[in-house]
Amino acid sequence: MIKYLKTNDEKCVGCMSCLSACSMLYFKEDNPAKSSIQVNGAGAGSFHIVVCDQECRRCVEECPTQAISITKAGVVVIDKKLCVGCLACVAVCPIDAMRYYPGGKNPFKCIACGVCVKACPKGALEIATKEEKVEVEA
Amino acid sequence: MSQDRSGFHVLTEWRYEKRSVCRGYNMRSLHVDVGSRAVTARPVSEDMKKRFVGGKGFGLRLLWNATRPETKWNDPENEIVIAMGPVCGNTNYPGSGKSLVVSLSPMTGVPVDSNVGGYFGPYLKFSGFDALELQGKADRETIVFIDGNEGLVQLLEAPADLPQDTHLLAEALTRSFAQDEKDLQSVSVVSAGRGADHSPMGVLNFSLYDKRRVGCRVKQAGRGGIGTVLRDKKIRAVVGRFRGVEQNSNDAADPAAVQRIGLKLHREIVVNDDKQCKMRKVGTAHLMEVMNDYDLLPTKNHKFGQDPRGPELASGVWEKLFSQKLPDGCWFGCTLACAHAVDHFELETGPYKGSKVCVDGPEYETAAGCGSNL
Repeated sequence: MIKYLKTNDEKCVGCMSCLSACSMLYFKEDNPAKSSIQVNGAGAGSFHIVVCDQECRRCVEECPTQAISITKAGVVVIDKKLCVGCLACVAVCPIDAMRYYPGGKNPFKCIACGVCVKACPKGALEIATKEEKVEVEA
Repeated sequence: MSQDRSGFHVLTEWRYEKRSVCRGYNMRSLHVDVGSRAVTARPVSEDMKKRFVGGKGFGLRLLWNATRPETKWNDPENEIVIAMGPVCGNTNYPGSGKSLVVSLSPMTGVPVDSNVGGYFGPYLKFSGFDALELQGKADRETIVFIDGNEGLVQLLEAPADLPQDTHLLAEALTRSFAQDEKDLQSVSVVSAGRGADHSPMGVLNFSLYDKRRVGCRVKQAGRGGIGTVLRDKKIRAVVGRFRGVEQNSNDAADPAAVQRIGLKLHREIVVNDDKQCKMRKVGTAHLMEVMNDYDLLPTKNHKFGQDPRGPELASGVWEKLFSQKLPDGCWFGCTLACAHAVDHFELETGPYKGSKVCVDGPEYETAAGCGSNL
């Protein structure tokens, strides 16, 4: 099973409460650039929420120091003690969900903690689980 | 796993004051004379920094200072200099894990330089030195150990039962000098195998501990026979240890700019490499088919540029052997990752016939030089 943050773009009104909650929890400051969850304007008053799906795991494969691993709950996490800040994980992330802050030592990402779920006034976010995709050998 | 170094007899011990890198430089080099067992730190002047930029510049400068016009490769005063440039070890910018080795070559008698990957160079930089000079000739099998976290340099006598060939030696020394299982990646070994005792073209091997393969891999400073010089000095190995590599260990003035530019390059490599150079999948061996198709492949001692059996040496053949379908770099953060290894590879000839080893796939030069050019 994979625990992840499920998003619903249709309910999002772009208030950015989730960004504040996320950066406040992990960086002790209200700074959208330090939030693991991102909300992008998609035109005509609609929004697109970008956050790690915990599923593709390309960053886990790429990490040269094996600082990125998968927890028992299926969440992709970074061990800051092992991380050397090379940002290869940021480069391989297909949806820009692996984040970094200019001048910061380590990248950061969503670990499906759920703090943003409580902060969202519109119910656009929820912590959910999904089955792991089983790769079939060709 | 506990640190077992009981078999290693300490010959000399030297402690130094640790300090962090300042704008890419430590402003000092480490000089080790294995003959008189003297270890000293030598200052790097502003003038040297300005005139001799980079590992090759430093290496040639230090070799020039150490030798005379009549010095031969096997004189005690000949040096092996391992030097690193100011950006060496930066994790954001691909390709910055290299160090340069300079010495008088047993093959030609004149200075030679060789570029090599592996963890030793960056660890030496972060341990507090811009270069390492190895001089003199030891009277017994010596191991030089540099601990960048403790600020300690030791000359040790190699135990009699220590294996000599690199694939065994690097593994044995990494396990002996790492403090625990997690520390294995913090150790890098520079050594030369038995071949270097008997031939002027011995290579110098720089190890790196590969966590995914649970073993050591080695990269070679292959040019000019510097491994032979190391063995001539009776140095069995040089071991470096450093733990705590960070994003800005080089102390860049503007780390955010380094991140931004490095990330741009990372992204371009990830997106385009498969379509252009295939470094991430097969490394420089992809040149085999390119050179053959364009009539440039060294064939039969450079007599021809194309070999009808070229496709037998093409990168597809090697790619099938690579055991890990992942980029296999030689320094943290190099997304180009042109090294590609095969683990559990069974040797078919030689003294280790039948044993399984972890070995890196061939570079283009090796595949062409030992393949089509013969």
